[in-house]
Amino acid sequence: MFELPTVQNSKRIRATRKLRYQYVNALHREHAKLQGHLNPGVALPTPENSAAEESCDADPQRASSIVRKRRKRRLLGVLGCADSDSELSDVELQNHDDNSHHHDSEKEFYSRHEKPQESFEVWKTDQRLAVPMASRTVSYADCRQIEKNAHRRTMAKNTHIPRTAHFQYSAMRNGLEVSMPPSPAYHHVHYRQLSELLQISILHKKWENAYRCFTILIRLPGVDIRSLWGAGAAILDALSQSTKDIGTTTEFLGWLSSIYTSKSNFNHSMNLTLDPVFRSGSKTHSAKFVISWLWESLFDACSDRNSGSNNLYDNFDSRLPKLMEKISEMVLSPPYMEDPEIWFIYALCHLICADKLSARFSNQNETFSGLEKDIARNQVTQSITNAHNCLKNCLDKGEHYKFPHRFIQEQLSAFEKRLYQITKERRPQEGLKSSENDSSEPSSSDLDTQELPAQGLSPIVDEEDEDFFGRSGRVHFGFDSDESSS
Amino acid sequence: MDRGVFLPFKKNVGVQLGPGIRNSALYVPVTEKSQQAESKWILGTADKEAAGGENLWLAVNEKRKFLDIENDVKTKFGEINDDELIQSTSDSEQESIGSLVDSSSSLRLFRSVRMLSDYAYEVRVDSPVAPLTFCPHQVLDVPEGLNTSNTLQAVEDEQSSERKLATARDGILSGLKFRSRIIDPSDVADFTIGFIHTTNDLRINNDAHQVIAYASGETRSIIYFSMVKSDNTTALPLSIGSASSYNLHSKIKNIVIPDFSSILNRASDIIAVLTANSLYAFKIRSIEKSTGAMSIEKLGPYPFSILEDFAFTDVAFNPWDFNELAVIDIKGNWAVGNLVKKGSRNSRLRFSANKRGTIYDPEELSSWHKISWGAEYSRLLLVSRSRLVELNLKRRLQLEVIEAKSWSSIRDFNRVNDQVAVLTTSKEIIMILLRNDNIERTISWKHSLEAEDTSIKSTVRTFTGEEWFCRHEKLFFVFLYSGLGPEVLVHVFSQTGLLFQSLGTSLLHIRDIKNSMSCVFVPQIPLSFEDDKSRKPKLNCLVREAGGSVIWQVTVSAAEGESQSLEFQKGVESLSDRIDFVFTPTSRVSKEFTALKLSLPLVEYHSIASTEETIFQQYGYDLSDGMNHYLMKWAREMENPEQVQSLECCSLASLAEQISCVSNMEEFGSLLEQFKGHYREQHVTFTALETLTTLITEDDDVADLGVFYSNLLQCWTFGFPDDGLITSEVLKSVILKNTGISSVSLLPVLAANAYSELNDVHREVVDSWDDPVDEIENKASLSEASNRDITEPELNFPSVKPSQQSPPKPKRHRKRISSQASQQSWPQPLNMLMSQTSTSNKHATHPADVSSVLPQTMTPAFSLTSASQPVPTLSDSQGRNSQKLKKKKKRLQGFG
Repeated sequence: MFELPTVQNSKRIRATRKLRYQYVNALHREHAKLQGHLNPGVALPTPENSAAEESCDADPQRASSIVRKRRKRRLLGVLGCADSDSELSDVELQNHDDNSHHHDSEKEFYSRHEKPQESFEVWKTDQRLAVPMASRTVSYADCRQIEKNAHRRTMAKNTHIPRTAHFQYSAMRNGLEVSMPPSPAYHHVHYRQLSELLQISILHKKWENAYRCFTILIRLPGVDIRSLWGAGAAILDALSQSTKDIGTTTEFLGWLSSIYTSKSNFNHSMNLTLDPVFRSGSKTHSAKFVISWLWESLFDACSDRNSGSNNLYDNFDSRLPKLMEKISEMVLSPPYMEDPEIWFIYALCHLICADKLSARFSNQNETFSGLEKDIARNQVTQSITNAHNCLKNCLDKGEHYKFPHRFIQEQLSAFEKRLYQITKERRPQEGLKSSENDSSEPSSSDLDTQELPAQGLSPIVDEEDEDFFGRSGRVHFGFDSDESSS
Repeated sequence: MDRGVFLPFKKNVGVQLGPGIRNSALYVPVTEKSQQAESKWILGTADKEAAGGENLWLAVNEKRKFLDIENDVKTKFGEINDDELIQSTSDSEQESIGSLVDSSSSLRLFRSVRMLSDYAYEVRVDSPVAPLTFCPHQVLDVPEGLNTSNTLQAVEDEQSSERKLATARDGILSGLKFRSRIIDPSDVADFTIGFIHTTNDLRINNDAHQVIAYASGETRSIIYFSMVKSDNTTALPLSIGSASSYNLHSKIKNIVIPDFSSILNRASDIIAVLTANSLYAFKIRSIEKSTGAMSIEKLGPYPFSILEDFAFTDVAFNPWDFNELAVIDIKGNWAVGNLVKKGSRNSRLRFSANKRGTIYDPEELSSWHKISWGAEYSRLLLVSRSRLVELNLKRRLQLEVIEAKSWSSIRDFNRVNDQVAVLTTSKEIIMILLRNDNIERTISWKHSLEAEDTSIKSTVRTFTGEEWFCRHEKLFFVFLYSGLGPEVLVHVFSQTGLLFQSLGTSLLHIRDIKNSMSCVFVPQIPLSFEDDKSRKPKLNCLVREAGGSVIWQVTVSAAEGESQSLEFQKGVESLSDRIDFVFTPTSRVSKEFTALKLSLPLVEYHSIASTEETIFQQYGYDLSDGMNHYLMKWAREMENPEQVQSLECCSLASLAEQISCVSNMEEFGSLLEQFKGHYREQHVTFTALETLTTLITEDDDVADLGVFYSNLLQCWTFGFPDDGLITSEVLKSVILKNTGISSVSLLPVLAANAYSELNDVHREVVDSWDDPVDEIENKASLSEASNRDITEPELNFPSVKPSQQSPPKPKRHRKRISSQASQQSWPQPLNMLMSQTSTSNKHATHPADVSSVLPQTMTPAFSLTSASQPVPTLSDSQGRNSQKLKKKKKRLQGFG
């Protein structure tokens, strides 16, 4: 019932795939031919058209080579060197050529279609990409003609195919769907049992069982741990608090991120059997487990479990800045450089920083000396500015990234406001309440004043990245001194 | 919470969730934490949160029969009398086959034949002919099932027996199916439930009625409509009124009850039915509330030639216009049409001339297509396996929103309401926001179901938060079910303002569904509760098994930790029940053999070829020593047969101390074979190795211990260094403890004893056992008894007559034991046994025990396979025996 973490590949499956793609390509070609025949003048240079042309180009090339070889043979015949069955070898040659062509039938299919990395499907939701409606229905005769020709072409290449494959092919041709049986090989059955058990245990929240299945499964040869990491993360998430010996989800994801590279190129022309969406990363697609890892470490960094109120800042010190340091490094290289989600996480880090720092103003205002207060206030403004910058970066990187902009702006301005509440020394609690209750209206006025310095600062930050991070280190230092005083 | 809050996402990707992934998230700052109290984060996966979280983990509570279509069919179409039968069969060739005169009943000239009560095969002048170029095999199978009361049942039996045989043969897991299956994607629904608001009801201000429409009949060509009364006070929330039926002469592929936009606040009065060759519309004029009787106007048939002559696969109704509908055919041609008020019965559906077109894609092979309205009056959504296309009829534009040609393909599409739709792909469940301007992908969940399974369908039911007692505004329950298995996966999404979250997945295992489900629907009835305090909502689903005639009502409610695990175990039990039914030999293994140690044996590693040889020799000596003790004991028993009460058995392990270590399994196997071969001549039977291997891997043709060992090693290798040793240790103890030994020469004595103790009735039964069928059965049970060294007194008494080995006819046997229950269960084991006796037991055990009751002259024929080399008849001298072993050993070492 559940997905297998390995690739099933057998002669049977390959044969069916080959037939399928050959038939589909033949259909495509026939359809293009028919379309061209129907409306030769309207052939607009759409990507589909040009792809079809490309695929058609392959044929003339082959034809010309055949013609050349044939001519050569004829010349040889004139010179008296021809063998008796030279006429037959023409067919052979063609067959041979076709064989090399078969090999690519899947590639040929994918040369017309994009292989997305971010999602399993290609999504185009922009209305501007809409094309005129195809208002002419496909007639029965046309369809039959296309299918008949395509079938003839496919069969010409495949005179000897296994019976099962032929059976499945004919079912496929009739619009039916074939569900391939699982492989009966012993180890495949074993894999299947284990992965079913794993998924069922997870769904029934039997984490101990799931953990055992997971540990066995990832050690089996041929199983890619990256197709299972989600399950692993879920199991560890449930178990790591109660069980001592096993690591946490964050550690697991961190390990994955350090082992598996995101530096490789995603090759469209390769026939990949496993999708990269959740599984792997490339130079243009940051791996899902890396992003999950960042989020999880961020959740960890903010959680105040195993920390009392006293060493709250200890935790803060060790975990959040570490994460920020990590992200600041990651953000220098692709694919993270261009990934708006990483920038958003970075922004959130700063936002949380600002929150934690400014929270001290509303809590323990008496213990501040003047200088400390100034330093702390500087740190808060610094964090807020950084957060703004990161958000701006995030918006720059992909126009397609969406987040509740107003919600975050309101939060930032609320933190800003905390600083002023202290200076005015107006009953802080009441002030807090008001800021919570109708935070949207007063913030809008504050927002403008806070936006200005942020925008003023941003060019400096953008110019000198190291200074930017160096300063965050200074924040760190200043904060240590605060802690010693408190 | 702010209403403007939503989770950050990438456009066209949305919030991508899966098991173990709970990002992306939003931070809720410290000050607001006091209000929120639960967490600082708004996460994508909210199932850990307390509020309402537990109640969303679902389990099947109970399953009741809602509607048995089969019974209805019986009442409708009564028995046909014999005269008709004679007429109908007199000129067929049936009589030449079945000329046996049955003495038990009154004399009949012809065998009783049950006519198919289905009219799909009748060809009428006015009805369009189904585009079938073949005769369905059910029709051809009818003569096979002549004597059964119901042909459908017979066909189904056959199918299930086929399936069971298949699983018994090659399934290590009985649920695995190793044969490819062809699925017809245009088979969309065979029942549906929805609201019907007739014009009469509207006039007198009545509420809409819930109506169920279902297909039935052997070829599923008869459509039934009946009213569903929902009553929340009783235990059974749904009951059904009287049904009205129409025979559509062709297989019903899809039934659609339109769903109108909620702003209109009313329901339609039309039900659309798609068959293999035409489209029908049923307009319900009135429903009588008390009896559920309906007056229905049948519009159509509208043959597919009204468009392009391809079969239609889906119909959709405009949610804002009662009479407008759109159809799509298997190649992607679509058209919008209207049901007009006036006109003759066959011309009231009119397709618009300019609102038609195609999304034909030559690369799309599957004929599965769906159509539905989008967010606006003029927007249509067309879905194929690889594309989702949005049409704008007003501006005459089309946009290919989704192209799924690489990693996934589309499995199902459900329009939930005017804003939300749920798309199921082979990888994910995706919530789609249908906005006026752009379609937006909001949140998705990776469901990890098998990607190759094309039979996955989904159904969606929404609840408001108040209904379910949780703080989310709206809940979307997405039910995923497959045509290949009996499980239902439920995933819950929630919506609060713009914020979409995933609330967890649960797996429902519906009991006693053997095959798979053809349809699952969740009717729009209010939730019921177990009791008011617990606030545990109960959800009612209607489920129809594929090929089955019963629609089940399954109640689903929140699972508690323990009950869930119980549920899980129940599922396991039912699986083992099924195995019992399939008659695997394991079901009768007695307790001693099932109580196993739960630890792997410790292995001492000391195997040197030379020491092993001496160990083997010693062990062979010990074995024959122990065996001789038993032989003496049995000989003593033979002398005074009256005292013998039961057949005594022992295992190899009880003969001698266990051999300490075996590194060469092949050699060990040959030792055992020699031992067995020798003692078989003393009329001692042993459990064949095949029996044991069948129990473990269910692989029949492993006769060599060495081969079996390497097979096991394939399965049990986990990458630890001592895998091979552990496997050999386990295998050794399995072989030693489970190779049963018994003497069959005592059997006739025992049988005579048992027979003398019987009363008259039972004797009669025993006496009448010279039917060839029973003989086979006896033999099989006999061989089984010896296979598994279990003595069951009732199996020991038969006196087997070695008569002709002609293959028996199961049909006759079935007829003779004509109790209703045995009809269902007999053929199955019988088939199994027959196949066993004919194939697997050809050489080892079966001949051995036959030889014990056959005259001595026949033994040579059977003893051929007993040993790989001719063993000289030896006396009981142990010294010579062990010498022989040694000799053999030396010879074999050349191969080692």
